[in-house]
Amino acid sequence: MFQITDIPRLLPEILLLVLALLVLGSDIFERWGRTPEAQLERVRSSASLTCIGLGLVFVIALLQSGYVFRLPDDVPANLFTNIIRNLQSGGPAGPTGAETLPPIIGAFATDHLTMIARLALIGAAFLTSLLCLDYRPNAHPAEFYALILFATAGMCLMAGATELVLAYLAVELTSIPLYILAGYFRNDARSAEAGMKYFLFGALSSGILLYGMSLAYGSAASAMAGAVTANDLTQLARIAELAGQGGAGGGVLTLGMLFVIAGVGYKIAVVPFHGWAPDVYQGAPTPITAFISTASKAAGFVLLLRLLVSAFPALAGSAALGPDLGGWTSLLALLALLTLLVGNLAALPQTSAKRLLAWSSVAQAGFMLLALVAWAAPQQFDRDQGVAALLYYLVVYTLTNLGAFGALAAVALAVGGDEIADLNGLARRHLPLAVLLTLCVLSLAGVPPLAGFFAKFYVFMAGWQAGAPWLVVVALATTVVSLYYYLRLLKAIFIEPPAENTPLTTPPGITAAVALAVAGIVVLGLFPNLVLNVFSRVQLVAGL
Amino acid sequence: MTLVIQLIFGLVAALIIGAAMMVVLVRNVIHAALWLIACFFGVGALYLLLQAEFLAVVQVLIYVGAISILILFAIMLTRQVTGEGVRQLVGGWRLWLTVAISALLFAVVIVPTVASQQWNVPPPLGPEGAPEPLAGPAELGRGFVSEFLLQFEVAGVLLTVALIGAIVVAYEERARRRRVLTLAEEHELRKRAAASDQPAGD
Repeated sequence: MFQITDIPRLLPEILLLVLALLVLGSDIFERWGRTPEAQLERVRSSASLTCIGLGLVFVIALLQSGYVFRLPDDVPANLFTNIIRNLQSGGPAGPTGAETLPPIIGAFATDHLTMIARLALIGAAFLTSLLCLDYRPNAHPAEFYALILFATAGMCLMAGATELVLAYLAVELTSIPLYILAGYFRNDARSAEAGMKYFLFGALSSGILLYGMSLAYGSAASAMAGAVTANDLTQLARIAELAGQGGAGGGVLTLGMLFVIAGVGYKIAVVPFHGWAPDVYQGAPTPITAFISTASKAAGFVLLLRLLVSAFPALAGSAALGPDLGGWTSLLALLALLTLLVGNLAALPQTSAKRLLAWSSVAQAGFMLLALVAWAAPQQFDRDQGVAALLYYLVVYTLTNLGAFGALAAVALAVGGDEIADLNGLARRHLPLAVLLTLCVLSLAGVPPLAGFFAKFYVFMAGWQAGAPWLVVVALATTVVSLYYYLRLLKAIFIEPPAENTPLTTPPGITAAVALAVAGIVVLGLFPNLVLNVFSRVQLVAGL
Repeated sequence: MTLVIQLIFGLVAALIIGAAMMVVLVRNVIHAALWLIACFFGVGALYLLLQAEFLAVVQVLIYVGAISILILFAIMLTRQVTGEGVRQLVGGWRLWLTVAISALLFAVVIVPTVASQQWNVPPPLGPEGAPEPLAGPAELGRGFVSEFLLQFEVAGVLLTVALIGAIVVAYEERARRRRVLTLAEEHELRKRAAASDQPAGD
């Protein structure tokens, strides 16, 4: 039953929705002039409202999480401390500070996994809105920013959903704004193509996901046949509980699991479900590309983790070569293998820097799948390490890709294109931007001491413990391959002569966002324990 | 009572099957769409027969009301593409191949269902010993405000977002908008174009 005390537990999502409506509403009171100055003013007001609002929501979510500060129990009660106490009792630590409350109406868990994902997603949205400050849409500015906020709320719900209907609705709430955002520059044929392609593939994948969910529900319901009707059969934990009972048997559940993996696989763009990704990433406005390739993928991975681990724990199987090979971990291992090979090899011949980064994003998903495979490990400790490695990789990848695409957006605005040739001599034309982009690219390639190295290291370790050394070897080999195309970018930046020698100017918003992202990479690389301590709490999740 | 119900069921089933056959048999695409509406009506009646009033109402509202209109619109807007008099059925051996494949696929679905189904299962009984009714509007409504409250709210947000998205995609601000011509104006324009073509052709 929903209680009034559940509202603080949903506060970040509620705030995101309120902020979206505020952005939409405030636009009505702007001057809708036709002059460029008036249009600019209108865009600016929506953009800065979104940016400040997202910053505030991030701070509130951080306060609620209690990761940096937790109100001691013996503080005298006044208005201020009461607000913080209510906020934090809705956080993952719960009112007692020790254990997480059960999911709201069985549908939405507010545990550590959700909270960490929320922080990462809201942070990604904040950086995206910073990137968008100077990358203005030509029409409907308020809707542009509001759609980003709606998508973020959907992603947060995706991360916490423990029930099939809510998970599906959250996926749709994330996807529909992203379709529109990808095709926002209607006059640009590539952007329109990206929007259309994303929509068609997304609709198809939603259908597949729904098939999987209805099969999983059907297998749970057939276990209850003849008994009293129950309303909780769509909850992940119930499906796991009823698995194998009743007439439908394991076949239906396995089929459902396959469909679920395929459906979510489209959202996170793993091979062979990646067909849309390069075109969409290349065609969408660059900040939106950054958003789709990071936040949407991160939310998809958390959803996949929760779906597989909570609803299909009996089907986990093993990824080790041998007679035990089977279950979803081996399937994910196969997908990871394909993703690593196809993503990295397809990135090699690209001439467009944006498309190259798009293929590299596809390849990075392979490493994250490797962390999910860790669920095959026999020891609970190793599984928890796998989840922590996945979260670390997700956070680092989100920061890095946002930084890389952001720097590319700045270059594209200044030079007018996003080919690799447009990066030529960037170091001579704008050294700070060149250094920032270099750090992002090096982190993507996994060069120490940047965070990308540790992320890959932890993921490899998790994969090794899971009994899939063959996969780790392939991943290592493809990492070496990936160095080639990342270094091609660096060669263009530092060695190739620039087309013109005029210094470039970059917009402050984009520079700030990229600098923030790079600072995150460096700090997380030098002090990974800052966040790993928090990530290790995810093992306290109920049902994981 | 049961005889009457079986009679009604037979009539409704005949209506559904007949209408569905007509959908694929008639030449005219618009007639096919109209037969499809009749088929949807039949399915709605079937739901009513199963005591699922809410589903019946939804079937009529959404399928008969919205989706068929959408299909008709799509046909009207793509008239030039499909062509009205196009022969839809293939002939000769390809027809029989099509029939065989369809029958095979249908058998794949229907045979295991019929074979593994236990017939004559008594309907589950409610607390008073009467057959438990299928979920009616009251239970659905209660579900929306209790167990499925969150889902209900999120669905509301989702629909709002879809509406906003539709506006973004379809609506152009006045400064950029082209005026859409009425049919009469378009006709006038075409006449004028034809008239100006005539002297050029001479």
